[in-house]
Amino acid sequence: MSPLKPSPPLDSSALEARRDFLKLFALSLGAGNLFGCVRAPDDPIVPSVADDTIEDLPTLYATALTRNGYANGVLVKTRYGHSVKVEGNPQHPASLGGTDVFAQAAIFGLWDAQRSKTVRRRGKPSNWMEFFDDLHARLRASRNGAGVRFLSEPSTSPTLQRLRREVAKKFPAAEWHTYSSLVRDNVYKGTQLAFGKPLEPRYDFSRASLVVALDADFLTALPGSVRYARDFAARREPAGSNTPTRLYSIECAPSPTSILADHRLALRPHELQAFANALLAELDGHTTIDTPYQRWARAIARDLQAHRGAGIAICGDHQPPAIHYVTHAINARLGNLGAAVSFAEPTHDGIDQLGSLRDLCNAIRGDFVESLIVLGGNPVYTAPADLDFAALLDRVPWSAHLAEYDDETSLHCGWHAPLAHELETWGDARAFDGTATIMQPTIAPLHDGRSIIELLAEISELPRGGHDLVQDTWRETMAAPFETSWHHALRDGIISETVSSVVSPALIAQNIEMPSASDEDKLDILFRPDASISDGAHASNAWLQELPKPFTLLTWSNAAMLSPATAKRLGIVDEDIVQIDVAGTRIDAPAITQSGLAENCVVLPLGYGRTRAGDVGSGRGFNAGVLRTSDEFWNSRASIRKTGKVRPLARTQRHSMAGSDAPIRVDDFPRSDATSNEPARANLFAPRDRSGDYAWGMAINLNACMGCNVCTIACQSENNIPTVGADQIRRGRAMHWMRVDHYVEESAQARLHSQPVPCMHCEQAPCEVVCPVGATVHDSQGLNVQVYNRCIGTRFCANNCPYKVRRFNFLQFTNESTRDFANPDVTIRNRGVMEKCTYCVQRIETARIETDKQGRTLRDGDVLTACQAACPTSAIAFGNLNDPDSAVSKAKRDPRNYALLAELNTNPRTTYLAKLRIVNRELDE
Amino acid sequence: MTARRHLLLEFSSARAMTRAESNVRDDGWTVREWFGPTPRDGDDDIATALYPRSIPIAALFGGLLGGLGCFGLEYYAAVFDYAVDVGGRPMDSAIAFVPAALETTLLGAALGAVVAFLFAARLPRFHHPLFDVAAFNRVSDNRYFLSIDAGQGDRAKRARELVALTAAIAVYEVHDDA
Amino acid sequence: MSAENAIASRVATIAQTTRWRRPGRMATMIAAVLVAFFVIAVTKLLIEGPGIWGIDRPVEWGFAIANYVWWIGMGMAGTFISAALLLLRQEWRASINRFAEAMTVFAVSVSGFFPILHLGRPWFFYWVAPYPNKMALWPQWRSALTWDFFAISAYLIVSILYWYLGMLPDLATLRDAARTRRSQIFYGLLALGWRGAHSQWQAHTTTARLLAGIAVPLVFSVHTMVALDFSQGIVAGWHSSLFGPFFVGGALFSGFAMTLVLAIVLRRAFELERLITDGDLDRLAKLLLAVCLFVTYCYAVDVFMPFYGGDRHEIDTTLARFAGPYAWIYWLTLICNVAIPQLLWSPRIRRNRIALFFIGLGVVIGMWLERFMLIVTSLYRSYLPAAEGRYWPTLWDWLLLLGSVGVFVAIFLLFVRLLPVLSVFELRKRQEHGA
Repeated sequence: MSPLKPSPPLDSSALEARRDFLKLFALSLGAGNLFGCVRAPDDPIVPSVADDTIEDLPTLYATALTRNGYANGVLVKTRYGHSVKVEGNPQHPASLGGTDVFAQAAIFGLWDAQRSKTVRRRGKPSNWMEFFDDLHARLRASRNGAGVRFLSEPSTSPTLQRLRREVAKKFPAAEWHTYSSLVRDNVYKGTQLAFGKPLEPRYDFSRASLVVALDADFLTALPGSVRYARDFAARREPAGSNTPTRLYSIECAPSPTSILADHRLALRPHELQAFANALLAELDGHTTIDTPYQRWARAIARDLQAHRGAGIAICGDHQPPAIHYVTHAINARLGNLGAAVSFAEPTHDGIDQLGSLRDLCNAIRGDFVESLIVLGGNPVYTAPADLDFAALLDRVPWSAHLAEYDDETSLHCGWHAPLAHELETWGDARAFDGTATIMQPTIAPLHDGRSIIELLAEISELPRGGHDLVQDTWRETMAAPFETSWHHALRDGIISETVSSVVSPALIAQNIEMPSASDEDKLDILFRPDASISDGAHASNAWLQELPKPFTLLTWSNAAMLSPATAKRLGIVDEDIVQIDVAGTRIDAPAITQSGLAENCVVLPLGYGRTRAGDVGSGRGFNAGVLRTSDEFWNSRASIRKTGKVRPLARTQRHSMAGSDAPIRVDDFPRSDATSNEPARANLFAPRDRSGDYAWGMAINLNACMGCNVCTIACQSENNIPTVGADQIRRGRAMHWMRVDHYVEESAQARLHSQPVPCMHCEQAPCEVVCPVGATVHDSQGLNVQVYNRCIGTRFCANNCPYKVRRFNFLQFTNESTRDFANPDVTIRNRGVMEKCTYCVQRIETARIETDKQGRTLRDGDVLTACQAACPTSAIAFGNLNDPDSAVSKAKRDPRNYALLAELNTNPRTTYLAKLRIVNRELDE
Repeated sequence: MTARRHLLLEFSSARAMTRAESNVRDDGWTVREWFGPTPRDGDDDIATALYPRSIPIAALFGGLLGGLGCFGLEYYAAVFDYAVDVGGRPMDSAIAFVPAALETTLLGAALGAVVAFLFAARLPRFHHPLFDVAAFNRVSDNRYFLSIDAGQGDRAKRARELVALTAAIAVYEVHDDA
Repeated sequence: MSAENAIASRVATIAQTTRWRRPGRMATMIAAVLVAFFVIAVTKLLIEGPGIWGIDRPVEWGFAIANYVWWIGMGMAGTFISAALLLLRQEWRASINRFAEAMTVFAVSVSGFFPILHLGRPWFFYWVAPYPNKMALWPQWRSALTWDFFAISAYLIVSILYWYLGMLPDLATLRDAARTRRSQIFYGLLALGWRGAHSQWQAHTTTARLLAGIAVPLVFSVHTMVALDFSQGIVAGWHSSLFGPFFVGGALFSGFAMTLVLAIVLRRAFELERLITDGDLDRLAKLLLAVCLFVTYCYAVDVFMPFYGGDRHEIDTTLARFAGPYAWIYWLTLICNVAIPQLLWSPRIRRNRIALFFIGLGVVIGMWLERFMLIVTSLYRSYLPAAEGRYWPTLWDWLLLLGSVGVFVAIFLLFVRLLPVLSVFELRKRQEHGA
């Protein structure tokens, strides 16, 4: 079943490309346009909208994309059989319409021409038949699986779990190991401590009026974060009588969650433990421990008491079990368990992944492992350094690696087989709350890839297509008649009544010892997944590589992050190369300062320093993984020194210190002063005629924005925005239409702000007046439109744009290779023309045509801009200002509504809602 | 038509020529034109400053044409033919139309003046009977010439008279079919 | 041999000497190399696009525009000097007006390259011009760039006419002095058959005076348009009503300086001491000093206004000029354009050719720095703190700048070779009166 002619070896045309970005782009995608055509999958797939009859209309397919095994429901838009855009699935509990950056970037991942295309044996091209023959021979040779080991990443897929049982039946002696570098062992160890068994915590932020986050980035990092963000943001808006949720973030390193925190306290890891204990002690009424943050502990404890049963204490995945225990204890004390915090049985077996990996390594050392089948993942790169997994893998007589990319692990395996992309194959997965989704392919496999379940089926010697495998899993459990419920499951993207049932365990009293104070001469190292490319799995995704990481706005590389004070103390400035020494292992890394980071801490983002991630991913940044051991997996201690060398970093924002001129408005809640709307300004010109049906406008709620970048990448995908490469970024030529500015208020609590900046579509647009050829003008609906084919590129408009939202094609940034997943509704721009946010005019027009057919005008919600649709917190309201009841009109009537740089009298159509601080006066400095 | 003849007297200095000119006039000759390497003294006096009149007038009309023409074009284009909402500014942003019109005014005036000059100076004219006179090519260097109607009668004799009368370096006969 | 003879033959020989002396050959060679730079830089630009330059966001304009304003600035002085002095009946103009006008024409022509080359799609530059087209589109008349397009075109045409008209009698001189057939035809065609007739002289004087009268306001308006290219914008540091006079002043400043430099070079190269006298240089130097004072005043007002107006962004921009990353360029500008020219108060300096030469050169460079400073220091800081950027030129920026100098020098050398560098007939007149 290989529908496509194989693509030629990576293409000469691309190699000729002169400039960095071109090379990157062509190499990562160049082969894409060499496929003659694409086909719909063979087995029947079901669109989520009824009308897929008209060829050229976009068709949305409901499916799911997994992150660390958990499903996020998505709708994939296909045009002419090409999958071109990912949207959140409004019906899916983990999405409610929002997505994360990885879901948006999946389109690039799917079409990435650097994906592995052929089965390889010891690097030589081979094919599936040979692989299967060898595999079967190997398995049959083993006495019912003795010495056969599987290593997979945690999966919630019922079908995969069923097939594992099949494999186990056939090869009872075979053993299964689970490991991914995003292990959440601490979470389960924590519940083990607290309740005696591993449990999956689940939070309901719609029921929380108070959240205490202990280094927990619950808005972007947890399973279900997209949903959490939606609930949390909704609860933060003052509606009627209820006061918005107050968020305390006690953390080591800032995260998007910190941006919405009302009070931040940055602590070193051991201090965090101490603080947690102090907080618990305060709740228990006895102040035994005395910490410097007593004031905080007491204030927060009092606040928690005041919100019994309506609070959430939550602890980050990276924190040790002890802190998890404390948070459970706190929730138990306050009767939050069963209210905003609940537990369920884990839906996957990745409970003790490090242990599992250790077992495997020991087995290999003991030469008990004859054959190792690695299903996905890249353990050679991600495994803790002390295990020296690469060497061990070489010791295994027979090994195979099923993966999307021919990567570091493939190099050490006898066999490499291409793993099909999630959007190419059948499967199923569970969301954070257990809800199951049938994952249907949106396109036939572009390369000769197979899914894990197909491979397992082959191994258990009942080979079937993915479609049948998944159906077999659900035939019994689904409500009869099966065909109908199957159809509905595919259409809706969820299987009803699959939410895993809540258990209500009792807290076991434990006595948590105080952590040992750290030796002060050393710095705390925090290993964290990179904000853009996670643990490196997305390293060859140019969209994610070029996505500016929150706070540092760094692209195409990682950097050792220190707080400004610590850096000052060590005499380190941005872009200095520092040598980090952990127990004798040394690496060089460029340094970068980040406000809000705890003193004497160094954050080392993972996922970089890849060696076999193609031209996009290889040789960028440094590999922090080599410092990482299985005992000190998330935190470590290190000494650090300057090397005197520097490395220029590609950042999209030069500095984020904002004094008085911060364009961010923050109102205290409850209002301390009655700051109301901007004063009306005198204007020379008559107000624009709004007699037409539509006057489009946008309101961005800074009280909901956490700077997660989803809007940026959603816009990139929707509007065919090219990536330009590190060099061009360094030159200040990023092309993102929607950028997210970050600001830091220098205060004791280092308040962090993020501000998405699309085109303001000014009523009196400064850009339009200065264009000599009228290439940018206003349309009847109040849009500031850019006429690409009239633009001659004087760039006066960009100079004259006070918001600097205009993007110029300084060079030929786009190339043929983007064609395969380009949005056919949006022009590809060439060298020499200006471009910018259009309010997704193509979506407006599509919707208008549709409603014209129905003989009605557009209603609120008929048009969603790409950024608005993708935003997990619904921070962006877009709609018709002529409709007084539209969400955006309501937002603009809000006294918090303000215009950016209003003093310039540009009268922007895009305005902002002031951020709220739900102050606790006790902690207000 | 009969070819009209006249005589061309050559002098080595403007002074000599000026003196000669008056003598010739007194003697009843008709001086048609003088030629020299520099403009004659007094030609840049205020009185004769803008003479011939045709040139300033042409400049005036050229200017008006350029200015009004451009403004009219801008107004027609921006208000009627291609009325587009630019930055919420009114269609007839008359003030914004002035700068271009101002430039075209000056351009028109200059062009007008130059065209009129060519007419007034009867240029370009690449061949002229005077150029047949070999010595005439020093008119742009350091020689001055008077051209005088030859009138009737014995030419040689009259030429001799003239030389005596004007102390000209030489006398040439020119056939002018102008 | 009379004085007139001397002049005529002198100028004629400059124009027609068959072989250069060494300095001439050197100059030609250097110019040729620089022209090569220009060709390479432009080719690369057209193949790859403006991205080869250092421009970025937020500094979308860089060298190209600085060069443009610089060149057109120098293109102001020639016409102005010649026209104003003509109207004021300053006969000493005769010794400088011709090559000053030539400088004007060439500088304006060179400057014309930049607004076109700096476009993202240079091949569509003519879209700025109003012409009936299938797309039924018109230019956007409210844009200063459109105004500027008209201004440059008008100015280029008028200054060429003015220059050519003034040259007509001298072209006749060269025609009549020409020995070879080829040069006879060449100059014969250029001279249009000028005969030095009284009626022609009258028409000539009249038209010259009229054009002068037109040229003076044109100079002011044109460079005001150039200033509007900036001050029409709302960019802090640009949005100022001072810019018109400021730029005109600057233009004349650099132009006079350039004239001074060329005068010194020419008179050295061709032993024209008798035609371009020390007195002439002295007058030119005084003129330079006068404009220097005006420009200095503009700098002062440019600093004063933001604080007087009290606009936060304007004040920040001004302070950033004093102390920001580009501060050194600001101060260097002031040194070249304000401090050093003060030497011209001393008569001794004014009669010292070497000193004058370097002061003039300093001003020419200083004015380029000023343009760079005004563009970059206004753009690199935006209204939003997050949008701040930097600008540093690349090799290709430099090549284009040097190349443009080469093109200018090359054309000027050709002019010196082929056309009368001084106004022969006016010098004659001057000597008739003087001597």
